[in-house]
Amino acid sequence: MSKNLGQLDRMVHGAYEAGWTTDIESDTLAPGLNEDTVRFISARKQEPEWLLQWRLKAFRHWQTMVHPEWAHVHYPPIDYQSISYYSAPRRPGEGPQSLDEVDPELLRTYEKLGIPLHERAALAGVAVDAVFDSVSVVTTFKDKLAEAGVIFCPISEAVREHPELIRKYLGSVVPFRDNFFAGLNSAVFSDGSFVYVPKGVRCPMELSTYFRINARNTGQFERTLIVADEGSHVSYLEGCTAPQRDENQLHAAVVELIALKGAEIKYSTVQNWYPGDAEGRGGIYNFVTKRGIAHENAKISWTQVETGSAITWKYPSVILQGDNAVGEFYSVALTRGMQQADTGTKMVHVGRNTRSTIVSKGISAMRAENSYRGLVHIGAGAENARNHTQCDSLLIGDRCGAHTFPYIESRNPSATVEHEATTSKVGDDQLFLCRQRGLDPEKAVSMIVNGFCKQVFRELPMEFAVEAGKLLEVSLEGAVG
Amino acid sequence: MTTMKRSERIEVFARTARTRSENFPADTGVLGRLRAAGRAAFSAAELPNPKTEAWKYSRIGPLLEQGLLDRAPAGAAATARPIPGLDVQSIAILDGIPQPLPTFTPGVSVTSFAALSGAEAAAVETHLGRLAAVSERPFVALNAALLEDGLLIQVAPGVDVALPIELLLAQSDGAAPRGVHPRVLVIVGQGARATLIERHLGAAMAFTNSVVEVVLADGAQLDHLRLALDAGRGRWLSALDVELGRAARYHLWQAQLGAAFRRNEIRIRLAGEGAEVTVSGAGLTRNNAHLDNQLCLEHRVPRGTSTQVFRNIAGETSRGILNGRIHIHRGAQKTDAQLHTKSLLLSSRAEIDVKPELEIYADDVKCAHGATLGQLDANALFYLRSRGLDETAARTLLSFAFLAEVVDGFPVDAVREALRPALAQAFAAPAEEDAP
Repeated sequence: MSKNLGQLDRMVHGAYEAGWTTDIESDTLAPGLNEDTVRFISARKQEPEWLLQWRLKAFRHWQTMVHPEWAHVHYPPIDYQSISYYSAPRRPGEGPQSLDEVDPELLRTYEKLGIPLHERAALAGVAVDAVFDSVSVVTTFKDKLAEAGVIFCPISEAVREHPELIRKYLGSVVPFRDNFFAGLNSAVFSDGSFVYVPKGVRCPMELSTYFRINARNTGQFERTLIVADEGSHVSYLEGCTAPQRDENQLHAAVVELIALKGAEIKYSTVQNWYPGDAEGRGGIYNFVTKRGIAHENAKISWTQVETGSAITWKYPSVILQGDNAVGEFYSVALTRGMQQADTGTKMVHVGRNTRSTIVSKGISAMRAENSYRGLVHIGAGAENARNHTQCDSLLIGDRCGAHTFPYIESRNPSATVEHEATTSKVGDDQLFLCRQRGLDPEKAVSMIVNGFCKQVFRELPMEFAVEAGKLLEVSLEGAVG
Repeated sequence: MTTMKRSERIEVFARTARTRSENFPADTGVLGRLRAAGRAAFSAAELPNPKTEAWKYSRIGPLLEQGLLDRAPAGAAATARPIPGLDVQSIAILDGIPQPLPTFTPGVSVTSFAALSGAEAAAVETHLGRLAAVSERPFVALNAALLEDGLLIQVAPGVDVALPIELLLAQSDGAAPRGVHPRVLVIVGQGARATLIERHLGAAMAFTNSVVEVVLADGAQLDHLRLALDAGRGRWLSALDVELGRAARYHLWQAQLGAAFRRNEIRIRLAGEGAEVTVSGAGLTRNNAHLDNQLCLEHRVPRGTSTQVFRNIAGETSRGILNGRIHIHRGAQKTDAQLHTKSLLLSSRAEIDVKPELEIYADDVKCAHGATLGQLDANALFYLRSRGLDETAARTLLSFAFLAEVVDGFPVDAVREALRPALAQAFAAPAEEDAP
């Protein structure tokens, strides 16, 4: 075991250096999408032939697919030829060897976003693999992770350094045929994170990636792959922010989680991309495919707080493949202004004694539309499977919408599925009580909403929970009154 | 037949339907115009395919079989077993054609579309095809396109009709495949009150594509019972479109056994303030039966209430589907809408699909739905077995009790009494050998 760890250690370090020398000269690719675009991206990343072929296969298949229309969201057609599919920060000379060498401009932007990278990483014990415009800029806490044998690196680096793992798992949970956006992502994915936690290892710290979209007209196509080997445990945090911008930006990420026998993966997201202005202009289009596969006795838990983006189209799902596997989905989705969210989860029960829990809280204010869309599927072999789903919606104002579209399919007579959904508003009596105690209406609403979301927030790692609460408060500004 | 590809079968079906519709003599009356509109809409529409969301769990294969668009032979007869002890005034539509009408109690008038005059013609002109518009569902368009005749049932304003009105949608006996398209328009006048018992009596190779429109004026009340207890017989597609005026009340009770294909598309629209709707449904499918209930409750105005309760059981290789949609329009404040459904699977080859949907555009509302899927309580089973019941009897008793939660609420005594043996018999029937 220790020998293995040593090898991994070396691999991790080696990969790090190699990772930087290749991407530096890259520049933003002119808008447009064809096979040459795919070849360009692959070449820039010095990818092996098999990966290029995989991308091309994905691209050819994607061309035959039709844009999905079923979600309860409305937006003008996207011109995929007007998007630039590759962009990397331009820097002269050698790549940064340490934080000091990172472009101070980038670091300042992070600070503006409230992410004091090194401080935060040091204080919170969080290793940050920051993705800035598609290419990883800095990774910290390598040593500590390497000691445990954990691989945490940009996926482009993992392709070169751990091809056997990438080849085995990439596309194994979300194949490129899965859906339109997953197909697109498979063809042109820019970068993302790769995590491998070896057998029996409990990852010594929470892993965190901060995504940002910066350059104009640049679609971002993250690809995240997390493999938790037998009996391991990892908690992964993903947070997103973006500066104001005029044009709609496309973001089509794919996240694949593999929890092998007895492993546990906890994946938390706080998403706060630019939602567009009061009239709904601008704002990010967030079309994400997230799915995990839980083998025997494994557990996958998704927690998400979605407050940003003009459009959110996202269904973090779990395939409960092995016996006794557990899947969880905790979600808060807040939409305001002209935001539209169609989000939920799929729990596909295959193994025996599989259990899943879904808690979804949707908050809709002003002229926003918020939909929960979920699937609970109990396969014929899922003896004694169990699901409990709770979807609550809160409406603030009479111009918004809150919707629930749950699909429940069962083929096993021993399974138990429970689904409940409620819709309510911030009660006048609740508001009155708070105001009587001296709280202004905005504070009062924010407090009530926080209470409404508590069930989900307590699933978040502590610092994320604080951030999420703050986010809601900021997002609700001006939504009440 | 089976060698034909799905797309070809659809093509043949659509072509046959068009040809049949074109063969009707030209007619500029209300029926002629509805037929023309139906024909145009059907030609323009695409028949549901596996990707059509509203048809996600129902395949139209059983409706495409050869001969299901043929007219029924003339002069055929049906065996309609009356419900024991039920005193009714009865109307029958046999093979899509209204049968000679009896006399009705004061305040009730029933007229076939072919014999309309005066105010009745005006009422049909106003309402026929208004709720069940041809443009939205291809099979509603098909019903209009192939409409031969139908019935207008009117209850005069202010009349409380004590004697239930029975509406039989029946197929003649016989093995010949055929398709029928019954059409009924029910208008309950202001403040009037009536009970309608709609019974579906099937024949194995008949395709019934019925459309019933119900208009409730302000303050009207209708208790509507729908019974489909001929297990496994026929292919049924029933559209039911209801509109409620101010403070009107509509109570729908359904008891259904599965058929080779049975799908109900029910749309209830609360168009007047303070209207009230209750829907209670009990469904039991066995063997390879199929039962699909698609409901859409639209709260268009403030202060409406709706409550829906469903119990479904699926055994053997059958399939039970429920899609319950509650749509609260902008401005429909103070709405209270609830939907609760419980389902039981009796076999590992059966399937239950439930989709309770909420679509809400108003903030001051109370809306909730609950859906559970489960199995019989092991303790209850043990208790019954410890009292000497064998496994099968114990299971049957508990399953029956599960449906009884809905069935015992049916408003007409004789119907309630008739349902118990009908359901017990359906439970007790031995499982058929699997169809190939």
